[in-house]
Amino acid sequence: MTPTALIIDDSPFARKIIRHHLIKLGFHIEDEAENAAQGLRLFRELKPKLVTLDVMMPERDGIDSMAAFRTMRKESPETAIVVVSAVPFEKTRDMFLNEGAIAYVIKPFGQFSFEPVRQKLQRTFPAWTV
Amino acid sequence: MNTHSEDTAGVAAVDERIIQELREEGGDLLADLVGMFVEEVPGQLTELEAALRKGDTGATRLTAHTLKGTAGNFGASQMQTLASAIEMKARDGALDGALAIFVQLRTECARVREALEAVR
Repeated sequence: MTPTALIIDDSPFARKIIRHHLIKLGFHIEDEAENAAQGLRLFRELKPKLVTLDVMMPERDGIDSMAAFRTMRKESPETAIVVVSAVPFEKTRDMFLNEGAIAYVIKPFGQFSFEPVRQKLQRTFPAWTV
Repeated sequence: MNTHSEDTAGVAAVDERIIQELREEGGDLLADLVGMFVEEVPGQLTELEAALRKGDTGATRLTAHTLKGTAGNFGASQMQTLASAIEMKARDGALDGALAIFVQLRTECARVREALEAVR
């Protein structure tokens, strides 16, 4: 069965590029959200196998990306979360990876940006079509 | 390849490496992204100018953040720097000089658009 994904990013440009890469990896894109609060609602409703979460989105309805990330990890630890960020700091990356993100992808996206995601998914979720 | 992406200071409007990688992804990805830029950025600039003239720091910050993100996807470093400067001023609640930066940003967005239309 085709694994499902939810894209959470305030940039329609980033959503378009992420969608392209996830489809190449074999995912069906269930939906897209433009802020963390909307993303959290869709996450609970759609229960996707994978979520991409931009960490630099402005807070909406009192929910920022970090809060959404921690809530998703708590409510559904089996969901793979790919953190997307324009911040290339090792400390930030390590924090998200230590808290359970499967990958930390830096913007702007390049040809190989999603290669670590593919490799991690193949190791962690070999049954998925990637 | 002449993409019209150099200004007099020699700073590229967009990052040719990123554009090339987007092109190599195939399909309509690059053309779609350029189309989105052409369609969405003018409205965002109008919103940003209105927010600045009203002194609305919240709306200024949000719109400048959006433009900064848009720039990042194309490696449009000058556009990104200018949008980021406005975003930071709004975050600090001090919009002094932000309108002058906006004028530069609007010019830079036109330059980025020209570069993108040349490569799609």
